[in-house]
Amino acid sequence: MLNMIRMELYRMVRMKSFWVILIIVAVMNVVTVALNDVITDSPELQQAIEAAESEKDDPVANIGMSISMKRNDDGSYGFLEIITSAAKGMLCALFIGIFTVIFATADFNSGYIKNYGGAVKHRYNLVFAKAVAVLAYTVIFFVLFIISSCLGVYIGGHKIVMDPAGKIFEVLAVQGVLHVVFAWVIMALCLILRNNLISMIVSCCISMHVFAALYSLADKGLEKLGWKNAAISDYTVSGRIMKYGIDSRNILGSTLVVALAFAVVSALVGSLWMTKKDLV
Amino acid sequence: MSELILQTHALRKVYGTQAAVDGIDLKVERGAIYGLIGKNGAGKTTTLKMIGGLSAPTSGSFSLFGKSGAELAEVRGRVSCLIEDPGLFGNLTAYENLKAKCLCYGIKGDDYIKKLLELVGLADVGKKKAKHFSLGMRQRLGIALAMVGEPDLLVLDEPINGLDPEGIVEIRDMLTQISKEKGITILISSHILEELSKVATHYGIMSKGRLVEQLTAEELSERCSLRIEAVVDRPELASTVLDNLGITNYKVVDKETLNIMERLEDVAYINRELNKAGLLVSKIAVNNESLESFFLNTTAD
Repeated sequence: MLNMIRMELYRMVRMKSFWVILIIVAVMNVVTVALNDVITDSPELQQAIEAAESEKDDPVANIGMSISMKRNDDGSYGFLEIITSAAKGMLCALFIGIFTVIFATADFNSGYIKNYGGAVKHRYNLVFAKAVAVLAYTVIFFVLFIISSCLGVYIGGHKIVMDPAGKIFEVLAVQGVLHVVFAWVIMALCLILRNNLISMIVSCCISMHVFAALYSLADKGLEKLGWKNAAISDYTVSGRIMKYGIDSRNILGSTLVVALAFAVVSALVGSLWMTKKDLV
Repeated sequence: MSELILQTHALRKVYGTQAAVDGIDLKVERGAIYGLIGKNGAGKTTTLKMIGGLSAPTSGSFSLFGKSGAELAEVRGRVSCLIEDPGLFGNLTAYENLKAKCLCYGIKGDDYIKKLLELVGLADVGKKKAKHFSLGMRQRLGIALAMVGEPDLLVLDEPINGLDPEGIVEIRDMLTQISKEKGITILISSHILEELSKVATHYGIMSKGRLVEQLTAEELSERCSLRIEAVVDRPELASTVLDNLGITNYKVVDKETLNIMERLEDVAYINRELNKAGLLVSKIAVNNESLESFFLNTTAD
């Protein structure tokens, strides 16, 4: 098992996409954070924000990615706001999802799995080894994201208000867990479908809120069945990623339960599928 | 008989309603180079996938190194395979491809990888990415990957497919070398009997998912060599006549056919002696069957 994890980590860091995605995200993050004042003060963007705000209640209009880094009244930024705005806007999930699809399907697409897949004692180890590699990637991604955000703040000369250390730890840890579980769900999907195109589309659709329309439809259906204020997205990892921020202490427990449930289901379904289905 | 490394029992694999492999009973002895031969779609690859642990049988079973069922997991690591195209990460070099598998097998040390690259003649490829390799180089790297962990059974699916004549010779020599030097049992498939005949010690002929014949290299050579084929009414009496003529290399094939593998130039003389002994000779001629026609006849509908 440990050897298999070593192999997965080795091939992960030797993948071009590993570096390309990290570099793109880091550069993009530095630039957007540094230029946030310029961007948000532009009249075009103000108009767009107002339009988006007015359509907020319409679920179909909410499809797409929306990242906003809110300034305090005195013009300063909260540290956590800077760090988590992109995470809550599903930008991190989008890139983590893209990498997960490329990584999880690489050995199937190249046929490399044939070199070792038949020799492993327990096929579920293949899933766990990949899961550990994806976890490592998510951690690296978040560390880089924090560093690049700080660099953007420094370059942009923004005024920063530090949040309490405990709060920073809590929000980052919960967002980290949610993103890891999101990656595991995508990984399980890749192992089941073994098709990177469809997996990529699904992953991007989740990140871009395309399923919000479906959730909304399901909510209405559930409300008709008697479930008042039904909100399916509250029971999804992506829904929790979008929701969990600085003032979300009250949903910490339920968020962790949702994450745990998805992690367990992904692990079980992925392992079962790998054990029962032919590798090639 | 030497130890059986692999034995299948009514092994079957069904895709939808189509039986790709239909109840085969294969036996592979330790140290053999077992050639699995059959036309395209005969079920060779599916059989090898099952043996290599990549695919599960629909029914039937097989034992590896004497272990079967749940115990198979214990010996899975002793089997290595190269099924269809070599599975390589195109963006990695030959060294890196091997390193990844070595890590998976817990094998450390650059020397091990370098020796493998030398063994397959890829020691000088340097930092060239696998995606830029020729087909022959890819096949050799695939074999090197299959060699990682010193397997006891190497399963190779059509490793000479698409290679030029020089490449075929290289792979053939390499397999013979691996088998002799490392004592590895090799199960190799091909649809070209002519090529397999240059390396294999045993053969299994597959057709339409079934194993139609298993034979040794000696038996195949016997079947395909020049011989006098005589059809007589009483073969047992013909044996006595042949013994009296000092002919020892002959075989009674069935109730009326004799194959004589020596003194082929004396066919007329042998015919006369058989007639003299009161035998009714309905046919006598020097025949041989090419490997190709033997294969075609065996796998004919």
